[in-house]
Amino acid sequence: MIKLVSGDGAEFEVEEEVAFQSKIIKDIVADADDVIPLPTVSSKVLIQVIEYCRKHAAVNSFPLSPSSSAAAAASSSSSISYSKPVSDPALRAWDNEFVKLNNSSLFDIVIAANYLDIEELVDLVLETVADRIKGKQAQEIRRQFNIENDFTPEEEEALRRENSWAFQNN
Amino acid sequence: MGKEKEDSGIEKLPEGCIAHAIAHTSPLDACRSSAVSTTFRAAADSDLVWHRFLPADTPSILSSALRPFEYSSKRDLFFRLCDPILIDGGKMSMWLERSTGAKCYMISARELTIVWGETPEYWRWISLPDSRFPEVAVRFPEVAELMNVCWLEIRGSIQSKLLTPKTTYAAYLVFKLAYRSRGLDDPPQQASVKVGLRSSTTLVCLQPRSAAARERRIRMGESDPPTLPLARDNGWMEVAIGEFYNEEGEDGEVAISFTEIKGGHWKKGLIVEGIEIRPKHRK
Repeated sequence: MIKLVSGDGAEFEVEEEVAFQSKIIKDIVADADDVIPLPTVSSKVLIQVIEYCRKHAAVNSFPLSPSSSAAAAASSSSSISYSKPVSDPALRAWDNEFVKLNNSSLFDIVIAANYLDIEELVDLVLETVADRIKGKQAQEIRRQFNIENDFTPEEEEALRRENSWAFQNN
Repeated sequence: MGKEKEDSGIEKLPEGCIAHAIAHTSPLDACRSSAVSTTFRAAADSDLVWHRFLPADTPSILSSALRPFEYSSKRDLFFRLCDPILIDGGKMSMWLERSTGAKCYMISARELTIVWGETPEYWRWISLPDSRFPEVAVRFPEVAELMNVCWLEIRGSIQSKLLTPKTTYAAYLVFKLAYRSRGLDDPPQQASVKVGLRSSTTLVCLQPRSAAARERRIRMGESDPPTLPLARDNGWMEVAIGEFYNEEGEDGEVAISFTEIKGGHWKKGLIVEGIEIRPKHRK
């Protein structure tokens, strides 16, 4: 067992295969002890991350089927690293439920997942963020994520002129 | 989701996360995202995003370009490729659909199999005014003009792996009619697209003036009247030959044909630029 300690001092005991969904924790455990302080991760977020890792550790402990390893090989052609698509439909459905969160909670999870180097979780959350961007105009994206428009009117006008095709028909 | 007034704090995400999310959208979404804020613009314009939108075989496209060109970023490269470039020694032109990044091709008449195409009494090869601007360099050097045939048969093919996976495409014959064209209205021509074991065949009619004949056929209760051509830029027209779904771009090929070999009458005045293959979007 490995003990994870959140920024607010809560302790969580998890099995190795759950904790090792995080590459960082795997590296730390290899050359240190079994109590791992995670000062930047709150207990609320750590609970969610552990829930995700526990689910994925259970499913990933089965060997990959030939079709899913072929998919992984196909998706590795891009030079940016994107985790392989989750091929198990039940796990995919679970993931879809897991990310039904408000933006702020999603961002907290992606920050933690990025820090802990859990590639699949980073990708899952950012794909969800992408779904909230798709098909929206700039103003709607600002509203969705509460972003301030910090362009000068001239800059915005120039930008819209450059990509005028993308801003037609609203 | 969709709580609109929360302080979501997207700006506190680690560097690269916004770009990573935008890379999961589309070129259209990325362009819209670039107008959100300066942070979003930096992310939306990044190489990470546009690398993802460029086709996986971009290096081989660039190495087969007839006229190599320079570009300043992946985004710049993407938009340069949205305008057609000649590839494979000018046998084909290729470009990207701006909103999705899907690959589009036109196979030049020279690369098509045209029965009787090398017999000057039947077909001749001509260069049109708009094929003579080397600085534009998107036109094929020559097109085929039908002088006179009874047996009209044009075939072309493209490897499935060149096309964007998981995309519905349509193929079009791109053509003009000469001043004195004849025999291209009735009977209609047969157009077909074949991918593996699946094939579709439709009737098409190259003469726009046969709209009246088409209505007559509908009145007579014909369920499947011929498809008529539509106007394009520069006086060219196109007629849809058929649609197909490109799965994963496996080893096969798409075989496209355009024939009128049943009527037995003489046909003339068809000028063929090529066959275009581009994504088809349902409205």
